[in-house]
Amino acid sequence: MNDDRYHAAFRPTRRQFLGRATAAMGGFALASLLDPTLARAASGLPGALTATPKAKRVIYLFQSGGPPQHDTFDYKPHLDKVHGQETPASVFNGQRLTGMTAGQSSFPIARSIFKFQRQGKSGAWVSEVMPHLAGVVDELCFIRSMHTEAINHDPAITFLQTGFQIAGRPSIGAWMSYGLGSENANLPVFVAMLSGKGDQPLYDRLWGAGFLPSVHQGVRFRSGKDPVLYLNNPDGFSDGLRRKTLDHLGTLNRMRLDVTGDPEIETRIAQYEMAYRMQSSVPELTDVSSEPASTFELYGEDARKPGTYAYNALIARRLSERGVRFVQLFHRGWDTHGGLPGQLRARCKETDQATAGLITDLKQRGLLDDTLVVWGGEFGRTVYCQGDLAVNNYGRDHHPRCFTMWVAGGGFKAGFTYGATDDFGYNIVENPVSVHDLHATLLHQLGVNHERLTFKFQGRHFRLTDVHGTVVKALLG
Amino acid sequence: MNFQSYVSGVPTSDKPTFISGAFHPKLTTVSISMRRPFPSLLRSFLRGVGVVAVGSFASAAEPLSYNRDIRPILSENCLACHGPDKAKQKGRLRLDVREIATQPAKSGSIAIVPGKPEASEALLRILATDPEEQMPPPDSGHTLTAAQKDLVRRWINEGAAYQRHWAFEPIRKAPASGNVIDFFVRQRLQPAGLQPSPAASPETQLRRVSLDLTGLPPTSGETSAFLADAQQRGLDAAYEARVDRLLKSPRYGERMAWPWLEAARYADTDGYQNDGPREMWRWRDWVIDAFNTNMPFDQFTIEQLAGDLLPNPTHEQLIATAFNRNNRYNSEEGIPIDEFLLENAVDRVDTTSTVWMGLTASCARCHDHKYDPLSQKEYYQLVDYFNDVAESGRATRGRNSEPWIKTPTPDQRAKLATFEAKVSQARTALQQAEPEIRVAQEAWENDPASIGPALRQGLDFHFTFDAPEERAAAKEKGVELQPGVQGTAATFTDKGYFEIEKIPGLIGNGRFSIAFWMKPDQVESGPVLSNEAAVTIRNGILVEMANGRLRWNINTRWISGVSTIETQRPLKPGEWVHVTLTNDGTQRAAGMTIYVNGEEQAVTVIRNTNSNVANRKEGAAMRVGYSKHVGHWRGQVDELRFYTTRTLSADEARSLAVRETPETIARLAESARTPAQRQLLRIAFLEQGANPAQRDLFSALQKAEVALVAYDDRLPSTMIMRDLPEGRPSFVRTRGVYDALGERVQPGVPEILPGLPRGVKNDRLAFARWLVSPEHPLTARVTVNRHWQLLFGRGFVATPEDFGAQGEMPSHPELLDWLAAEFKESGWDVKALMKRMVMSATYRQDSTVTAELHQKDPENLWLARAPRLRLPGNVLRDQAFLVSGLLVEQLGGPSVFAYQPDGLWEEASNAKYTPGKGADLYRRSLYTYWKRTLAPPTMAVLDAGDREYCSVRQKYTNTPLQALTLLNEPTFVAAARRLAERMLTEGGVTDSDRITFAFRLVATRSPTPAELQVLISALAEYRVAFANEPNAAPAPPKKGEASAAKNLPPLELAAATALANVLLNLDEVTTRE
Repeated sequence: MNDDRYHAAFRPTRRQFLGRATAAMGGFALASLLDPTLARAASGLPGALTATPKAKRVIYLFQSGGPPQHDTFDYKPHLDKVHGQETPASVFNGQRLTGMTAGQSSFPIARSIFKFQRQGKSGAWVSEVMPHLAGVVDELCFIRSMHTEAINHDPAITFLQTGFQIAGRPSIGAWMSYGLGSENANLPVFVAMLSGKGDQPLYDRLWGAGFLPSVHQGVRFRSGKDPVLYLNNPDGFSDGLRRKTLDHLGTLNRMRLDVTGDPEIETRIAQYEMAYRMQSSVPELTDVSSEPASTFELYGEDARKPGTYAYNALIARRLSERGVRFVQLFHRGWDTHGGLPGQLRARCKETDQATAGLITDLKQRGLLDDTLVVWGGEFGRTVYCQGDLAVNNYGRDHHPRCFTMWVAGGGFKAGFTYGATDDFGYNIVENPVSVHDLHATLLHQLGVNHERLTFKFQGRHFRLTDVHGTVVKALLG
Repeated sequence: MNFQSYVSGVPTSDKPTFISGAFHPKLTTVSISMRRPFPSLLRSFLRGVGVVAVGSFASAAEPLSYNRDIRPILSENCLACHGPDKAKQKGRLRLDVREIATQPAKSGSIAIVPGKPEASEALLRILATDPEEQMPPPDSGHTLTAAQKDLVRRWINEGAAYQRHWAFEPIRKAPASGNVIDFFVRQRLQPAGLQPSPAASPETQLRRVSLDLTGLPPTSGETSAFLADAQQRGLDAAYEARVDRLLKSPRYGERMAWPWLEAARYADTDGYQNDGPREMWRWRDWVIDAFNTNMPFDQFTIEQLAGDLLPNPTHEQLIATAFNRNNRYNSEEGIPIDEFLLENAVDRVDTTSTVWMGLTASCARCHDHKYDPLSQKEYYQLVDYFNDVAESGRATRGRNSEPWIKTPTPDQRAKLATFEAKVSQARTALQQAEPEIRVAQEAWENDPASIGPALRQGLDFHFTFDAPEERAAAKEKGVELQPGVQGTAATFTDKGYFEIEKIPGLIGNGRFSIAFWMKPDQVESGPVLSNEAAVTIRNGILVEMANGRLRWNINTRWISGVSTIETQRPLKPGEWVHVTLTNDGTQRAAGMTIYVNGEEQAVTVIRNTNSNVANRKEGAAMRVGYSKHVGHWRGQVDELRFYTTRTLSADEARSLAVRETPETIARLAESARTPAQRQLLRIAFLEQGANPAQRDLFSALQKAEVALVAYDDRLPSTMIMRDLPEGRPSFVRTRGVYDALGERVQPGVPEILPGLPRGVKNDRLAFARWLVSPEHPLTARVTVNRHWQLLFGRGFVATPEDFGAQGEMPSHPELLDWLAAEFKESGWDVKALMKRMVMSATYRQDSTVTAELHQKDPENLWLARAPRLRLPGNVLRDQAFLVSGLLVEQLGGPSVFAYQPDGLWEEASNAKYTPGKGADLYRRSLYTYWKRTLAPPTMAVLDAGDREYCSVRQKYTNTPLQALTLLNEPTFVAAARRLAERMLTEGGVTDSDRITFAFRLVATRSPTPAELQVLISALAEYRVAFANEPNAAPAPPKKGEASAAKNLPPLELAAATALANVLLNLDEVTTRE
């Protein structure tokens, strides 16, 4: 080995090194992995970073399947009066239906079986199905006028996650990884966690990097002994032995670096070292046994069980504390075509306490101010009943024209409700917010100009917001 | 412009060096607009003054090239608003067309006045500082650098010469001498002040070319043989011989197939929502075979894009067309059918354009292309070539979607023939027994009263309606048994119905048949048979009258999942007819048949979206004459039969339509019987009257037929291209939205490219032939570029998916063109192209990054050295299997379920992953089952293409997750254990020998003394570690994993495994140097 020669003649300067990394990967995330302080400075995105960001990170609680707005947050007392009647043509107004209900001979209006009450100082309406969330409404900014373009799950969830209905674009978290880099050298920038069961599956592309370098794809954290794939050494391979093998590997790779002069080898050595650090940082992160009892009072006892939504919510807080930029939970099972009351109760039982607990916890820790917590699904549901309307049972079909989401923290107005739908919860009558608008606004709070965060691919400068999106200033405090 | 002028504009010996960055300003694109005329004050100011700083890279002495110097600036900053997109053009100004840019605008000003920068409005605007005047506008986020502004000024000053975009110009072969690749590469090295590197070591050359051509490193035997050969014959001769061997190896086709599968978005599932399985591996094997047999690329093109339209296409040519059925396909319930018909066609256009033409056609889906001369209308003209596929628009869930064909392999065809032979043998045997059968049957006919109904094979339920019975009870009054065809029949007025017991198995994806007599009194509407569920999804079957015709629905969800067919001929009211309905289990309208009076009916397909598997397998009560959803019916039904597992044949349907019972026929004189009656009676005899020997003959025939059908049902199928005879009209879609129909279009190729030959039928076949016509400027360039990328990590054009104005300029345009021209002249000979590339000194040179090279050309754009490239994930995995001895080489076949951690599918979806066993775990990665939405994790981490859409560029990243995978993923660990075993059993006795042995296996060279020393002490340390730590036992093989030899000392094996783990992770081993 001839370190001197290497350092004198071969070792690239940091700038050259970064230049190379950028050229090889099309981004600067590698650099940020190695030296997180470089994240913003090394951004190759002229003009993308705007004024001081209000938020540093995101926890996105994706409720997959399309939660019913009528039964949760969009209170429609009028439905009690017209329950069971045919939905008026004036409400449909020629809008398309899915093939699942287009053939129905009747479209009876279904009121919500759940009781609504005003909650908190802000007096936001929340149904009885989310008693815990009712306790934190004053932290939330409800958007009751969300609308989307797709009417089916796959295109709709892909649209929410990537700004485009067809596969191939980067997910929001990947854009953030690309645009903002990391604040933690031992953990990925973007973590996705899955829970729940249901008809609607989830896909790699929802946390994928699309055409961005694959380094930006979300890392799926799993329950069980390998929270990150292949994190653990092979059976019988102790940590000490792994350290030794990595030392030998590093020595040999450095020898090869001397011979070949390829700076990529130095990067590889660094990546193996980060892998090693992840082997201790991830288990430490995912082991919640050191959390005090109060944590589980807050999130619920489920938070002790890996694989549950509550556990994932707790991990989301722990990740956020450690500077992970984008944490996304996906909870399946909100696709309430039939048997809505039972299904909704079950989903809320799984999620309500932990969601509220997460808000409270972040607030207590002073993290809520610069963390954006986003809650919502891929579309809303119809006011008319899908299938047969019974006394205590009904279902609702997909409905892209309006749905409710909420955002907490990160400079969004707290205890605020924006937008309104008609008496049927079917059409927006006030302040529509598109998916692109939501994305633009989230990015804005993160200090990113959504029109400038671009990546050139196939001759085009692609954006998360495509060619659309307006920052909804009214939502911001 | 012509291409030569472009070529002459690039640096030669006495000109300055260009580095790639200078060609490609990286700025963002936005809208700008011309507002009002430029103030004259600034105009006069400019006239007198030297304007801006001089650009750094185009020397003042050298004339500018539009393509090289100006087009990128305009494209990046101006063309979004002043380019080809008519809808976005501001002030009707186009800066990309000289005739328009140099004409006076309405205001009288002229954007570009050749030779007069000071009079050129465009330049004045670019130079303006007043935000009101400035171009691009300040809010666009775009701005030209001082150097760029000066370039524009100089270009106008020099006369504002335009050039056509280089990629649309004809391909020209520039003169060259010697090895052409080395000639043109050296032409670029010289001005950059670079020299080619020396040749790589023989071992490196061998390892490199083996990995590049076969995706596998050389074995130790191959290495020794090569080195010996090189000693004997000289390196060049030995190398060439080796290259020829590699190109002949079947592994070559496997290696070449991988990037083609990524380009073709090949996968084993449909890619939307539930992402159910499909079967396309026969196409994958076709690709491997095409590369191995060196199918000329023009034929490769034509067969994949339009093999179905060739005269009398072969089975293989039809399989080839699966290329454009590999797109994702949505089976989600309730999708708007028209939306996904469009998405499918669009995906075909985008993929085809990218793969063959490097055209980002998809930009023109919503509007005219902003940078390239492709209008939105032209885009939909391309769509029209791919819009006629006879597909339903909703994918069949869990199996192939129409159109598809059965595609048995040659072996399977042979096996099928044996099943067919068994049937004909059984039939012959029965025929040979005819004399005895006739005699026995005559005797049997003497007791007609004992003769029962016939056609009993697979007859699970038979309702005669001859007497009231519990299994078929009349509900409500007004339903009666009245005289029918045979005895009495169920008779309905417009109320009441017969409810008969649960009939299981009448499901879309199962074989079944229903037969009955009916006399419709009501023909306009009304249900004959229904077992539909009462709920609104109405799952079940419905046989109904509709406008005088008989209509049959198999319904899994009304109306998003229904197959409905209807007879074209009406039924006459009040007339008895026999009806047989058969389903072949393929979940499509074409799998359903209606026979009326024994004749197969021409039908109209009303719906064809029966995508789901019906969930009424256990059966539901069948109602005759009533459906909750349709109401009542007037008419009669008799002799209702259910065959719940069989598809009746046309012969059987004809026999069933005989009005008389076998008993009645037996009473007729032999001469008075019709052939159909004779046939029916014969069947009745064989079923009921035959002696055991005769019955055995008959049942042997039945069994052989069942076995044939069962085998046929299991044969692989492949989705292919087949067009609707009547086609499907194509329209411009406003903003690309499926239901915003604009102008109707006919198929056509973009105007910027050569036209189709006169007089040819303008169809997909003509389009495919056009792509590989001698005049086409793109196909050969794009293809050669991709092959170069395969070997050098980056193409001449670094954006293989985009050869348009926004794409990168070629690094070696003359070489690209020379190779493209040669490729065509050679008859599109891919192996010859590959050989030419790997034989060049450029390819064979060393990859060492010297300080000088790193400084002068950090990206290795000019190829003064060979690239060092991390191996793709599939190659890494295959290599680990090969060197450890685990690899199971078997060409082709159904995809296999490689090892992956438990729960990866289950946690995200409703699909369950069950890893394969034995050999399946150690096949080449090419054969790993690819679920599109949850890709094989090792491949996904190691930069494999997504397979959700066309991908033609290899990604090279370097991440900690990759490190974890290569260190800890169980199959890599299994490979380490096996490699350790080989070390201990084959590697000699000393540590030094064993390590050298293993090192040679993984790196194709011996370790240096220093390396060996590190490894020897490493092995010693591992031994100590395992000895001292009681828990640090060697990892026992997991279930299904290859186990190591039992007689090896556990401690030694454990230590050697740790060492092998290090070896497999060496940078050199994971890299192609």
